[in-house]
Amino acid sequence: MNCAQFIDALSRHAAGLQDEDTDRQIGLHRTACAACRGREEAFSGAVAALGPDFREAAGPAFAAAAWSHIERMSHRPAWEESHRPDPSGWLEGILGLLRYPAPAMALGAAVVLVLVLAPGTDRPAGIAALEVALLSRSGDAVLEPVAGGTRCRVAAGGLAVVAHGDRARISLSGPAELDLAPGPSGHLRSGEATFAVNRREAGDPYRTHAPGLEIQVLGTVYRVVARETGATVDLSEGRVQVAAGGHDWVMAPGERFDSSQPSRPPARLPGAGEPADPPVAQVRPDPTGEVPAAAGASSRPSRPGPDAAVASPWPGSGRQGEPVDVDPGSGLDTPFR
Amino acid sequence: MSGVPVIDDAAIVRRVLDGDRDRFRILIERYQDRVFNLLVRVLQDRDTAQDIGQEAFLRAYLKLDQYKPDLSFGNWMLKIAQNLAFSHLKRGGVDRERLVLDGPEDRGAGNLPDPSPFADPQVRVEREAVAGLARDVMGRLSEKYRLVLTLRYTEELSYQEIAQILDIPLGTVKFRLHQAHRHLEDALVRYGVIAP
Repeated sequence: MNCAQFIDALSRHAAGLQDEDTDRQIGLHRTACAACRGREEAFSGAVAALGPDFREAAGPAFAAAAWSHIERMSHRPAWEESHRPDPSGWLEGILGLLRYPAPAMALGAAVVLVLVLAPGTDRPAGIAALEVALLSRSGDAVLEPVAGGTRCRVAAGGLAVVAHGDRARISLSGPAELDLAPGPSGHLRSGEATFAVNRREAGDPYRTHAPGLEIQVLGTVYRVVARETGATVDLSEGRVQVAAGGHDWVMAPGERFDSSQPSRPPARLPGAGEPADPPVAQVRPDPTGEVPAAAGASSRPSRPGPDAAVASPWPGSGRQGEPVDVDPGSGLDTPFR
Repeated sequence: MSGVPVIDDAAIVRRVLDGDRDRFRILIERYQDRVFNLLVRVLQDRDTAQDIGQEAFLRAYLKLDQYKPDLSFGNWMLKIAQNLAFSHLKRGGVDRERLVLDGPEDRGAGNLPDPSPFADPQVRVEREAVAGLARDVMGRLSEKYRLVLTLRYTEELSYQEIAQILDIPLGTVKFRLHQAHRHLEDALVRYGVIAP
């Protein structure tokens, strides 16, 4: 092997592409030729620079963020669904038992006995995953499956209205990204979204996450703006419970909450008028998840005025149980039924 | 010297599948750096790597019952991560214009920085400079070469393990590695680190 052949063979040798004979010739030439030895050492030095020392660490917050993401996106029904045993496995097991008649008969008798003697039990009904559908859009907006749910992406200048099953209608103003789980929860990753949520099951509230913030919906219309430093919530109708930085607040209509100042109670929006409800109460975490009802909560809230930070797009006809058509032209006129 | 007993990955997986969900956090802690590093190398964007890394662990968590121990859990995570990374790239999640060295036909393309600092053979090239150059060249290769270099040298995996992770034949792994080496060698020649 000469120097030219050595040079040609070097990278193939390093990649394990050579046969034993060529590798042996490379070894012989390396021993004999100082220049080629130097060349290989330089190459090895370059490759060594890509070794384990080159690894970039994920950073101290990564694990917590990843686990939080899993908690958000893996709604329990979805988890149970994905880990439910395959029925075909049961069938195979039963068929397999038929090869052993005596144990099979004994097992069959035991099953019959249990069915006859045991009191009836109600099996929990399966909870269907909430379907995500794009109702209307202007500009670039797409839905795409991601692990554990659906991601809605709206490009800058775009507008989209998304249905999250029969639990929520969400207007997204681009640029925005929203993840919707199979269960009643969403995570606004960035941008601005207005939610109209139907409070259906008291024990299964709709939840929205945004940076540093969790919102538990009590039947309502609200807007969330996610920023790098946190998020703000502007409430138009109904009530929500917000949690940030260890503080929980119940918001009244016409109020804004800023998660970057979690200890400050929600403030009245400019032009929102007088609160219909008593002053906002800070609530203590309740293990049952129930939120104390605020007096006067059923009264119609005063709406933000025209100069308010939130010009509510929701017409007054949006009552629960009343079907409303979606206007694909405006995008925002999507009262929840 | 006695150390703290380490719970093996398979045992943790079994416990998670049995309902001890919080145990999965141990696996996140254990493999976050490997997953994140691979994603940073392929995607060349730390924020995107953070997002895709989180998705990778979520995907693993949701599909944990499909995990087969013929692949180590760490390598299974790398497999999931690289799949997600390439799905992201296919959706146009990166500026592909800057990925200039994509194959043999691109070798010698004039996209490397001005080689003048190393062009003079009298200039003694320090080891750090060679390392920096190698890393710079790697960053300019296309995704598939960056990935195979990362798996081979940073993760120190065998050809067989790389083939399993990438779902490609062993010969393809070696060929890609060979091509990546050629790019690296070319750059070393251009910068005067080794003679032409």
